[in-house]
Amino acid sequence: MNWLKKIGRVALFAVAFFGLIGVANAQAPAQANASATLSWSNAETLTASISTPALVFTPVAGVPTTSSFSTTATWNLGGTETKVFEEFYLGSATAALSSGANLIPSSDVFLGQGGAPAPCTNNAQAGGNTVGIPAGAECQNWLTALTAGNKNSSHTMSNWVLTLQNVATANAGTYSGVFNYSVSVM
Amino acid sequence: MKSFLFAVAVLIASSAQCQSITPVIQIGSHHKANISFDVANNMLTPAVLTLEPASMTPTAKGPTYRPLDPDVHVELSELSAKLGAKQHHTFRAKISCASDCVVAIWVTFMPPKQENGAQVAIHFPETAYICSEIRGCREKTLRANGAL
Repeated sequence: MNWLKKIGRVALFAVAFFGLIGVANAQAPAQANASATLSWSNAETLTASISTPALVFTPVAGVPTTSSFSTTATWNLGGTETKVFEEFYLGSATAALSSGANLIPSSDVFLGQGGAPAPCTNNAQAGGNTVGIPAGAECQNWLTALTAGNKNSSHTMSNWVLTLQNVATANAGTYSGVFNYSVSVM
Repeated sequence: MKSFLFAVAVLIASSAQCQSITPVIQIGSHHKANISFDVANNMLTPAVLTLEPASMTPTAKGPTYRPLDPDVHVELSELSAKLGAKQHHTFRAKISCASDCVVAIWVTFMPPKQENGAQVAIHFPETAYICSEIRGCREKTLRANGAL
């Protein structure tokens, strides 16, 4: 009878042992720590927008005036950039608008935003295209200092109007030119 | 009413100009860089753009630009492109310089010529700081010019 008891103990041990292994195996997937790395590269972006592709002058109380326009610079910068620059400027100081040989200088083109308009005769402080902003043809410039709080932000300016002053004696003709809006980051 | 508002929104969107560039600043080492950047036309109308490289010096007042320095070489994949509505395009540039340099590739969006009045052009630069090594390149350049 002892051998029967021994067989019974061995069987009982085997059942318990393999049962535990089975339980352990059954629970193994639930206990494993699987992980996947999350990664997202959100690239830096700079966007410039202006409310109109063209500025046409029409008389308002005898003064050639454009309809109002607005600009927005939007940026999302994650690096060590420190400043955003915006500038308005004309294509030339001597020929901001031209009609053949007839020229309107930048000193006759005024930019205003509700208050007293000012002529576009500044020298550039920053920005501009390859050859720089033509001397004496800048209208306005702005600098937005970047801090931790505005690395992802925007700057909107509204109600800008261009007027032509002192052109009563300008020769008749259809005048055209370029108005520039530049946005740069440093 | 909804269709009217939609039409007004489309009209406003199509009459405005809105363009983007990404990334904004890149760094190169060993005095050279192979960069790519994406330009997007966010308008509902096509837009023509031109690219023009320039040398840049950062200053305390802001960046100043000038024609490329003689020892700076820039090879652009394209000098111009036409982007359809809501399209974007990736440009590539190979830049090399004899010593540390900063190159800005100006992107200019110019709408069709205006017969009476002023065309409105949008400009923004892709800027590459290039040094002998990447680490601290931009900061070193800004400090050297009193811009940081």
